[in-house]
Amino acid sequence: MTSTLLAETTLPLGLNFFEILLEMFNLAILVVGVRFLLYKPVKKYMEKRSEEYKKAEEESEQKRKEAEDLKLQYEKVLEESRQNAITCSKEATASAMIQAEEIVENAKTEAERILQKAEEELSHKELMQKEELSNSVSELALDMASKILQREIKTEDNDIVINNLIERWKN
Amino acid sequence: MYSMLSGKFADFLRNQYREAFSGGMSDKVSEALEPELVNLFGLKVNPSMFTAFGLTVFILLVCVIVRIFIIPKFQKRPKGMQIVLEGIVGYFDRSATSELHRHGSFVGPYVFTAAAFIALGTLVELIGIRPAFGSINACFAFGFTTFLVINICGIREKKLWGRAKRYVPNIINILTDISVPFSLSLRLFGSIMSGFIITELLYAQLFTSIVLPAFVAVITTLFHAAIQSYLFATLTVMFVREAVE
Repeated sequence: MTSTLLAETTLPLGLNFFEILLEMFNLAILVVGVRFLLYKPVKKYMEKRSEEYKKAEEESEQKRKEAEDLKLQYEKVLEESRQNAITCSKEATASAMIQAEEIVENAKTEAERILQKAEEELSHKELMQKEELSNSVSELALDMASKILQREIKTEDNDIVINNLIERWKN
Repeated sequence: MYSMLSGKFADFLRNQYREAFSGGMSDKVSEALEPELVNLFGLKVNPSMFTAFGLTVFILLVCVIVRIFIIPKFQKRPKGMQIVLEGIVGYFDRSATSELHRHGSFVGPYVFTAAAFIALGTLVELIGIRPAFGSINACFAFGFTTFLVINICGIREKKLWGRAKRYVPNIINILTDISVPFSLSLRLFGSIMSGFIITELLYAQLFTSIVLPAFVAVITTLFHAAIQSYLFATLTVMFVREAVE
């Protein structure tokens, strides 16, 4: 009854309260329908994706930090290794120098020893040769004297002549 | 030649104006404003209401199709229809949530639906259907619903006493608040009806009904559809923000 009255009420520009209510009801149904069928699922999907991106970004950020930490660690290890290598190299150089010096020293000692031995041998040989030469010279002198004198020469004569010769030769 | 044509066109406009407004509204204007009522389940209603109901059914059907066939196929990298849907929903959601925070989830869908309804309800005029806002009742329905939404959000935020307190020091605020639904409704009705009446008047004469409507309809219908839906959405968000601040 009321609705009929409202619907049939004549107002300017066709104003009708019942129609307004119907239109409001129509709009309410439409809003609810659009909200649950379109707006909310699309928004939910966008939020879910945004959440996933956020999560992925956080993970990536965390991994980046981890990678940076690892990089720092590796750089530290690398620096330590470099320092160790430098130290090792220095030590090796020093050791090699010492070794080389030792080798040179040894060589010098050995050379000196060889030289001394050679000198000793030479001196010994010289003495030996001198002795041999002395003997041969005495024999030679004896022969020469015998032939010159054509007589028996006594040992005493020999000795005098030889000793003279030797003395002269020595000088 | 040109002066003769322009003179004839000026005469035509003068005659149209006289015909429309001399001694009351002409048949065309009168018919546009107060069309013959049609029967809806035994009730005599404005034919615009048929458009509104039809549009509601159409929008809901589209929503069902989108929900069943398009949304489940959404991909992380959007393309095609997904870009359009995400763009529109994202725009309304961002504008509502950034301004209204927790009320955004309630106001966002309302503003989105109202804007879509206003745009489509005006654009149907292009295919010869009477616009959904060709009836002042539809415009008032939107205005009053927005008024309800504003007050629901205001009361939710500040409770009833907090909302009512603003009328105590300055009683003029009552008038300000009451004028909101009327300003929203009459703005919508005025702009859409003016476009509709202009197009109707153009079609009324054979001389102006050939090429001119193609240009005029763009201004009066397409622009109004876009501008009014944008304006309604922006004003609704603005009024709700004022209420919850």
